[in-house]
Amino acid sequence: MSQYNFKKIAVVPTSTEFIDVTLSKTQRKTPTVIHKHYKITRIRQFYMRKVRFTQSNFHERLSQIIQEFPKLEDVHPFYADLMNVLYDKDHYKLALGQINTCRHLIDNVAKDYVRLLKYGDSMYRCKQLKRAAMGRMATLIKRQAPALQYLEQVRQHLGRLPSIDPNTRTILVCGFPNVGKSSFVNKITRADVEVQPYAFTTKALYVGHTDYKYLRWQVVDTPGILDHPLEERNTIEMQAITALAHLRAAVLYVADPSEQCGYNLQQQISLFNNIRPLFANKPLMFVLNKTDIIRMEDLPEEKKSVLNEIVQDPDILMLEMSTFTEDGVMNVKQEACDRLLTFRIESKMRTKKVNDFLNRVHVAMPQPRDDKQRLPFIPEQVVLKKQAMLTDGALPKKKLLREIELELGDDYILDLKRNYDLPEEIKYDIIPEIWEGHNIADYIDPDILKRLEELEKEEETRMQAGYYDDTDEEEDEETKNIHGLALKIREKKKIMKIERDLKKNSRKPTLPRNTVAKTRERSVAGLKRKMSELGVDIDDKNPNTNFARSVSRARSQPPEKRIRKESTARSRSRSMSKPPRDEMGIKDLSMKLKLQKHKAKSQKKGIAKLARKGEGDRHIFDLKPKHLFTGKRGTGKTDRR
Amino acid sequence: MRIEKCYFCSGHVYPGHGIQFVRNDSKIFRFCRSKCHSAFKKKKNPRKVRWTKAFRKAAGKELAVDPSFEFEKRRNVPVKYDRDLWQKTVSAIKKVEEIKQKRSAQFIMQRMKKAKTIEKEKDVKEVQRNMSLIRSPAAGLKMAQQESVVEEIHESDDEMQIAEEV
Amino acid sequence: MAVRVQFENNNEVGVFSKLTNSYCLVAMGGSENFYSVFESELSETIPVVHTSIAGCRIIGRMTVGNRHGLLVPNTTTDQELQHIRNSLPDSVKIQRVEEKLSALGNVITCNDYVALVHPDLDRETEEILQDTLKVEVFRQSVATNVLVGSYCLFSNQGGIVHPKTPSQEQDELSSLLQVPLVAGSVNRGSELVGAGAVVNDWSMFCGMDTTATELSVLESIFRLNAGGIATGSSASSIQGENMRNVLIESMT
Repeated sequence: MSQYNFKKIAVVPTSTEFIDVTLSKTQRKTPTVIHKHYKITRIRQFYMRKVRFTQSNFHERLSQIIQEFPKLEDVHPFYADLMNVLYDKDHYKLALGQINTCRHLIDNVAKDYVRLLKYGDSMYRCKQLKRAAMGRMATLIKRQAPALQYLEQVRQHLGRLPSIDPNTRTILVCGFPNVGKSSFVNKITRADVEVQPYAFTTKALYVGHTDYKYLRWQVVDTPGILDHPLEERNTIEMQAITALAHLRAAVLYVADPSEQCGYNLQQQISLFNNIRPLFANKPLMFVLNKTDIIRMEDLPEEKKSVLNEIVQDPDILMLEMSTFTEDGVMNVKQEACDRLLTFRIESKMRTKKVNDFLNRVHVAMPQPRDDKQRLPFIPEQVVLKKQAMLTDGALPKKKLLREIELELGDDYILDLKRNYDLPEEIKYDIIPEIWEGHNIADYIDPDILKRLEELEKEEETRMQAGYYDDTDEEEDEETKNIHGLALKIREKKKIMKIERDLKKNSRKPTLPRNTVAKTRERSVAGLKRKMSELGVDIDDKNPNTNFARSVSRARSQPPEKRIRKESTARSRSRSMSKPPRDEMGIKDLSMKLKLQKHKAKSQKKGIAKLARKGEGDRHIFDLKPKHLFTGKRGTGKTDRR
Repeated sequence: MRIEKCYFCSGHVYPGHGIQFVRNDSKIFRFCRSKCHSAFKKKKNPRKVRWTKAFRKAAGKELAVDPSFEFEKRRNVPVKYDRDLWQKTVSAIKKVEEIKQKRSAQFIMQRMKKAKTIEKEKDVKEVQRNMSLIRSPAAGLKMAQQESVVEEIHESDDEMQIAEEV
Repeated sequence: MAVRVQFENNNEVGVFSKLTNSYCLVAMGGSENFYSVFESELSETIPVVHTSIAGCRIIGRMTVGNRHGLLVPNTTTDQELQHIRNSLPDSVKIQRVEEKLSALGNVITCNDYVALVHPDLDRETEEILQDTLKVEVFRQSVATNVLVGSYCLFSNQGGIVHPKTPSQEQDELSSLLQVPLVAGSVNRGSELVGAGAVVNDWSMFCGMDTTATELSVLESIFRLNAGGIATGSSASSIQGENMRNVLIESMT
């Protein structure tokens, strides 16, 4: 348990205050209005609530007190013992016990009365029960008045105890009253302990802090101890004894050889020997104060001999100082700190946790691998500067960039080129980065010029060697011809391909009805034309050529007009002229007559009745008859409304 | 500022253009436009996509290896600024560029020329095979006959003359 | 001597700066305070350069270098490269490396003679390291961490590693690097010692949060004490009994 809790203990109220506070709280926080005519359950609830509320308040507050006060078993034994010395362990425990019992009793009271309230049959009855309950609780608290008072005093005193950390580095200063302990503490720390000529000026423990070797040290000032047995010691002395007993610290036993404190050296030494057992396992120092009055050498022989016994003991270090002149005070402090440090280190090294930090202290020294010397590189200037600093002190300072920045304020711009390792004229040049799609940085090379020269030379040689000459051969006559022919062939091929495609894709019947018979051009003229295209000469005058014999007469004349006679079935092969529709497919006259009758009958229907002129008459006199286009639209689709 | 090269098409990426993609292995891919970026995302290999410079150089359609290309490369060892050197470098760039372009153009010309010879051979073959489509074998036969007759006559005339003389 | 500094309220000095024996790179911040700290200490001896890498300010983790040269990642733009080249003297060779592990400051750590690299580094990068930086290269991890540049910080005089490094490994590393090593922390217990501070042979910069104990350890291992430079103190005085005890005391 650290120091902090002692300051944070809540205030313990006096009994009357406690009662007043709780009861008024009940009055404020619970409903106050109740009438006789309310339902009995409501009345009961009302009063039960009040009783319970009061009980819980008392309970809470008392619990808080019990929990916040330190338990002597849980705190460091130093504090436990100190509290025992100051407040009497038994009394303390008793007080807390009483509070605990009181709390328990209040709970019981409340429980009982709530149970009784459950059966209250009128408002008056319930009210009386409530009054009784509250009264009993209040009486219980009133009976605790002394305990509460005691605890409040303990609390106040606890808060003012010095914050001594029992685990850290501590130096304990002890000795007879008036030997100069408090003055010593005042000298080495910032503590301001009262120093007076009368004994027992210091009545309690005081703590001061001092620094040494980057560490914090506690210096504890104790009240003076007198030389009598333990049982006879008073509270003040007991504090000192407690500190000595429980704190693992370096002990500075301060003695006054000048006997100004009122006790002679013999007595001081006998006290020292008496409390020797308390110094077991602690680095010990015997300090002679008030050297300004008398020094150790100036002491008479008997006194010296007595002191010599102590000096002979190797464990004890004997020192001299004067808190008045501050002579030797620092020395004492340093010695005390050093000895304590080594003692603590030794004890720590013996624990198991030593390995955790051992690597931190280990300095690995290199084993030389080879003969190579690897010296540090410290420029001359630095060495000179250091030496100059040691002898002179401050050197003339150069103007720092920060100062310039502050001076210029808003106008300051970071000039990166200021410290360039280049001649002044070109330092501030703007360096070009890009040219026509090329990054200049990619070309920068110290021997670019040399390489460019080589390249140009090579280019020259290439040009001269005719690398760049236009070696386009003149096409001779023959190649031109061949090329022309090849073009024609390719064209012809394309045309053939297209024709083939057309032929292939045509899905028409071979002899359509409507088309006129093709005039097959198997004529001599045709043959002549084709052959001449192919470059062959045809001699059509010669009657012996095979194509002259089987020529059929071309249709040079149009067909004659003939009167329409009675139809005679003509075979197709005889004439290609088209028969009229009503004569198509008719075998003979009888069939024809029958068909005529058929025709007349069918046509009569439509033509005569509908006033049509003939079969092909499709004229509509009234495209939009009114009866069909008037009226509202009914249901149904548009196409059959 | 620096003009970067597009990873896909090897075109110029000017500052403020394009997209930069950093992969988990810290390799940076720069793209000049979304066309290249999309193609990359589709995992296309620039060496197989015909319109990129990578393809053209790998397929030998453009000049790839040449001493004039050694001038422009990413340099990792900087040189201290020297006004003189920089100015000379800028003029050197111009010259190198000229030469580079001349050589690349020449390379392409050479390629085209090879095509011409191939074409010529094709023509000859075509004519050899398919001559019959435009000229029949009988073409000029009559003329040839007549000519041979005329020659014979001339020959016989000559003979007769000689015989007469003799 | 060790100087405490912050970059825009951030204690990781090794992220925003790179310090070697022949130059110092500093990131560009809102104000010039950070730069001026370096300037006041170093600008008389070595150039202190404002820069960015690929437009970023985390230059300490992206680049690696020593007094012979500087390596930058492939994301560095041409203009930045030119700027760095113009600012640094010709004795420092600068090269841009093509490497998958492009945060070179995390992956490589070096002094003027030896370099420690990530086990997965490319062969070509290793060769470039040997050529430009003139160092012997060792592939090693520090306390099972492969990012050696973040967990280890060393100069020609001493070095500090991740605090959880076991003593054995410390000894191994020390003999590889040929400098005394200590396992410690920086910036109030931060394990990333490489990113938390920068050091060269005569000065050191760490975050404002570094405790006095840490600072004393750093000053002693890197020999930055007032007397250290003039006398060239021997190894044994590095961790005197005093420091040792104080360290143990403060840690437990």
